[in-house]
Amino acid sequence: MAAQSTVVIVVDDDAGLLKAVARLLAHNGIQSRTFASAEAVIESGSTQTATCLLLDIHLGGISGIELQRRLAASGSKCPVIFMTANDNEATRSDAVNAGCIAYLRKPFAREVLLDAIKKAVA
Amino acid sequence: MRRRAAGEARQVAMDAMAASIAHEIKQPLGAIALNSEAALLCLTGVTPDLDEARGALRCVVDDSHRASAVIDGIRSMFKKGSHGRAWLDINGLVEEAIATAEIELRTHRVSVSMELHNELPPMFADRGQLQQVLQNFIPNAIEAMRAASDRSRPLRIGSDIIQDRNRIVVSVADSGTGIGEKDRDRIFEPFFTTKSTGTGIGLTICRSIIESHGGVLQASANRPYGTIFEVVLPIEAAG
Repeated sequence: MAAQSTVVIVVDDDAGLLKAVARLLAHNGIQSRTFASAEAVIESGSTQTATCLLLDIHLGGISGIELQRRLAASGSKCPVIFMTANDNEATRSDAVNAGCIAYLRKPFAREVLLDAIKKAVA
Repeated sequence: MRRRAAGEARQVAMDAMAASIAHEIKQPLGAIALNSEAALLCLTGVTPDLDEARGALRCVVDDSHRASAVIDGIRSMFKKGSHGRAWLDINGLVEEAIATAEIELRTHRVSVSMELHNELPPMFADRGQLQQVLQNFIPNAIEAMRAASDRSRPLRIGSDIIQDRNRIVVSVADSGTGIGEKDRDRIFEPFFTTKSTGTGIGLTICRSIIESHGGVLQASANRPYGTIFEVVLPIEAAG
C-alpha cells in the first residue's frame, strides 16, 4: 500500500500496544519507530523525518495532544493520528483542535489504522 | 443542600471510576485486537511465519491476563468497602494504614512519625473508602522519597481538629522530591501522573471519595522539601 519510505512514529505508554502496532505495520511493509513518552520522541528529534505520527493521548508526562500543539507551533506539518482508550467529547474536540488527520478509539481494527495511515501518506 | 452536594460528588466519583476502568481495560484490549490480527496475517499466505504468529499470540495471552488483573483489582477495591457508612475512629484507620504498609516502609528506610489528636470525635464514613485513600498516600510518598535517595526519609502523619470550622484534618507529609506548583492541582486530574508506572487515577479517586464525604483533599508543599496531603472532613453530630 504505502510507499516504501513511509516511517510512522508511534508513541504510547503501553508497551503491549506499541509492540502490536509495530508488528502489524511491519507486516504491511510500513516502518515504524516506537516511543513510550512524548519526552522521548522530542529528545530523539526524529519527528522531522517521520511520514506521520501515531500518538496516544493519555501519556504519562506530556500528553499526545500537547505534543502535537508544540510540534504544530514549531512549524511541523507532519500529519498526526490520535488514539485513545478514554474517548469522550472533550478529548475528541481537543484532538480536533490540536489538528489531526484521524482519531482512533481503542480497541481499533487493523483496517481502521491502515486507512488512517493511508490518508496521512496521501 | 449538603445531601445534594454529596450526591453530585458521588456522581463525579462514579464517572471518574468508570472512565478509569474503561481506560485500563481498553488499553490491553487494543493490543489484543491488533496482535490477533497480526497473528492471523502471519498464518495466511504461502509461507506462514509461525515464529511471528507465536510471538503475537503470546502477547495476546499476556494482555488478556492484564485485562483480567484490572478487573480483579477493581473487585477487590469494592470488596474492601462495607458499602455503607458507620461511625469510626479515624486514628485507628491511620494506624491500620501504616501497619499494612510496614514492610514496604521498612524496606525503603522510611521513618514514620505519628502525631494523632487523642480526642478525635468518631466520623460517619465509609471505612473501606477511607482506607483506600490513606493506603494510596503511602506508596506515593515512598516513591517520591525514593527518588531523593541522598537524604533521610521522614514521613509525618498527623490528625487534628480544626476547632472553629468543626472539621478534622488528617495530614501525610513526605520529604520526597515534591510536586511543582504547576502540577499540584493537576495531580488530581484523571490520567495525570508524575510517576513512571502510575495510572494517574489513584488521587482522582481519592479526591472523589473525600468530596463524597463532604470533605476536601488538597496538596501543598512541605518544607524544606516534599509534599503534604491533607484530608479535611466535616465533623457531624453523633447519633
